[in-house]
Amino acid sequence: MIFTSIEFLTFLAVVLTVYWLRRERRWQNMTLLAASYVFYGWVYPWHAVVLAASTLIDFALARRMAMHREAARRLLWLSVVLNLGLLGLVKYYFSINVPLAGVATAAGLGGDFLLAKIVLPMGVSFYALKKLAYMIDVSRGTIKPSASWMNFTLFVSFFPQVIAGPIDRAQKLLPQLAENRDWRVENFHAAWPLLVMGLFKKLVVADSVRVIVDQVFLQEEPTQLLVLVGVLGFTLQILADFSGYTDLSRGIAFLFGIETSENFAAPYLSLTPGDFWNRWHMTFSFWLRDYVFFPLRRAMVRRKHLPAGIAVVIPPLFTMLLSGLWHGTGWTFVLWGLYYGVLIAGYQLAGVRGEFKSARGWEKVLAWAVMFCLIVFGWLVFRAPSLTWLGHVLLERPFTRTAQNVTGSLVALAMIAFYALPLLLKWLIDRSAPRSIVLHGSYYALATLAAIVYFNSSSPDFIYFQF
Amino acid sequence: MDAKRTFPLYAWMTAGLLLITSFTLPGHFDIPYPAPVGPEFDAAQKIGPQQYLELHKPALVLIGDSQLYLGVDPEQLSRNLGVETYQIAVPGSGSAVWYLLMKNSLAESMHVPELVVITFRDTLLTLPGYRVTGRYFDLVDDYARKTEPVLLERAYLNQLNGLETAAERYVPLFSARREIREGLDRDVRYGLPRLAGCDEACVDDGIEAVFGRERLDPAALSSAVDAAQQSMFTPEAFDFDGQVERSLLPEIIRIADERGIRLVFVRLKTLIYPTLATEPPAMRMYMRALEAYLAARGAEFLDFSHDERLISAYFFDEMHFTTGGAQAFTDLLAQGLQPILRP
Repeated sequence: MIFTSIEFLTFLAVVLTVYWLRRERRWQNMTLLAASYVFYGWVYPWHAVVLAASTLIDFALARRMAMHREAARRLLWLSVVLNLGLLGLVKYYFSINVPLAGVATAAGLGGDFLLAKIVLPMGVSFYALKKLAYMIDVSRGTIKPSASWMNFTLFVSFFPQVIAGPIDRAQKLLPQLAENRDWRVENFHAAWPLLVMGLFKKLVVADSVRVIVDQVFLQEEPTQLLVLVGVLGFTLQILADFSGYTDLSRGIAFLFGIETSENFAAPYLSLTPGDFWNRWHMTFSFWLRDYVFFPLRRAMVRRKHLPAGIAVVIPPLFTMLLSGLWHGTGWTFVLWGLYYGVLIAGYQLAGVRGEFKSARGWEKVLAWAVMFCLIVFGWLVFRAPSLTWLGHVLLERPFTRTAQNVTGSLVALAMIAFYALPLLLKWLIDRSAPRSIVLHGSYYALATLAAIVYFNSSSPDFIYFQF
Repeated sequence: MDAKRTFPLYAWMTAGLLLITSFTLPGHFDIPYPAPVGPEFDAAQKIGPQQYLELHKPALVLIGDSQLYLGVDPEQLSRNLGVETYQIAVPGSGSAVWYLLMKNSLAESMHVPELVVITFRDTLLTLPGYRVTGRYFDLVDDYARKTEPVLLERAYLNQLNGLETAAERYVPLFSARREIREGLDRDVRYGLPRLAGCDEACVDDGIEAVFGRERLDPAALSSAVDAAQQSMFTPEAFDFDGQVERSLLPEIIRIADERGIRLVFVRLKTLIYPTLATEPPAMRMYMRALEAYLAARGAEFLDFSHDERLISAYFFDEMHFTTGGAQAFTDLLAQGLQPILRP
């Protein structure tokens, strides 16, 4: 089920009704747990079985860790291997199944079944990290393991987050799940703006711009001008899509009286790469910081024999490489991750860490302009269909060809700019008139109407209009 | 923003604007209230197939999509079988178009062919809502009459749930959303360039120069189309018994029966599930059910989906044959049809 479908709306209405029938923690958690597994296994029930099995294994391992502290390290490594193993299998199955099938067939084992195009579970990238954070924190003694298998299972499978985050920590969610949740009108007022903006960003902005962006990146021989237009579109699309999803996730969670973490804080206003990763997909970024970057840097700093710059360069490179691998299979993701690793290391070696401290306005503007260009270039690497295509575009394609080519590219740019305007307007309203009820009320009303107009019917090819 | 203080104004404005649009939009877009649910077809209909049938009187008629278009050489088939063959291959079509061809062309023709062969892949025969909206709507409209109640119900209305249906009928902003989006698209696409002296033709030339289909990477496009076909492989799609009576397949068979047309359904090969071992068990169950259903109704079923003679080198993407592949498949199809045509 997707959040922007009528099917999900019906599901949510039923779950909310049952949930709030009783203001009692156990009833509410059971309702949410059942709903989460129905949601996750809606199309392919076996996905829910995988989720349940991996969750219960970690629950048991964490309990054992607390009881046998001497074995904590071994048990943690077992959890890491199982979680990363599952994640690796899901991510890389279609990269290894063909050679594996060849080996199996050559060995007379009949490997054809490995070529079957199965639909692998979604969201493993997110819930595996959720569980790993929990296991690491339990092993460190930062938190106690959950005594309630229901609460822990719900923490992992919480349906507003299970497919695409935010990757909340146990410290954030488990205490809330351990309390009774009374209906408060503040929950509704926290939820409605997020739900309206989430729907608007996904249905109106992201889905519209995606059609243009996909057409650009499907081209065999695009001009550099067209690719520039396409990547600007993708820059808009990915923020609208992902932050829109997070808004919906958080808004839905608020309707259940549960507060979840923010994930985006105006990332395209960043002045440095470090700043960007403090604003973009924050829960994932902080996960990497706390469980990869800081431990690695501490370990390297302790090794006094290492050359001075190593502890500055290696941690960001390795951390961002992992980020690239987490985001997807393919060399473009590896390169994208390394790109940010090099940027962060480079800025740090130049003495610029997370924040850009400058009193002069023009320096900040320049820093922003440079960083925005770096972000856009990064998205080009991320979205490119292959490294070959990317190299071909950057090194061999002309900037533009004919006047018609320029016209077509600029028309596409105008359409992308049209869909960027509402988000710019929102930013301006938030910044210049944060208390204006009229401006905010009007904006949200128009956004709601726009979401109704841009709602796609349940038929799958509705959006595929001829561009 | 103070959400609590803003909410009343937001709610009133939203309700007010919905009310205003409920009064203004029906008149502006000429939509009745309550609005009819589902699309409207125009009265124009392609009569080329019917005219060809009556003029040339082919013994064998083939119906399908781009797989048929690129996969079968009708002249070679004619030579192999010794009968005139007429191929109606509509790229991008699904069972909705095939139903319309049976109903509005073959059933209306004075000439009754000996055999009608419908080529398909996977679960297409029981997915009436596949490729009937968006850019595919025009294909359906080409072969539809003004009134198509069965098509409307099975290909469109059954795909909507109750809330959507109610919104289509009673919320003019929702009913008119296609028209509003098209208008907005036109204004944005043509408005700004007009200021720079580029009229509609100039914009269209520019768009075609940049986004013409021939510019797309065939492999990437194939992957994108593939990704869009996932609805054919869901557990719901594999449920033959649950889908068949809601589909257009019974109607296709009924029309053929009434006209005395013998039907053959040919399952084509793709590289999505090239061998039996790669095919999901649910798909195998679906095909067994389909075969039994067709046999019970006197229709023939030929299955080339796992034919080892159709090697992967015969395909230029996951679904379509090369010229050499088409030659090979046409021969195999002729061999399969021969005993049916002349038992």
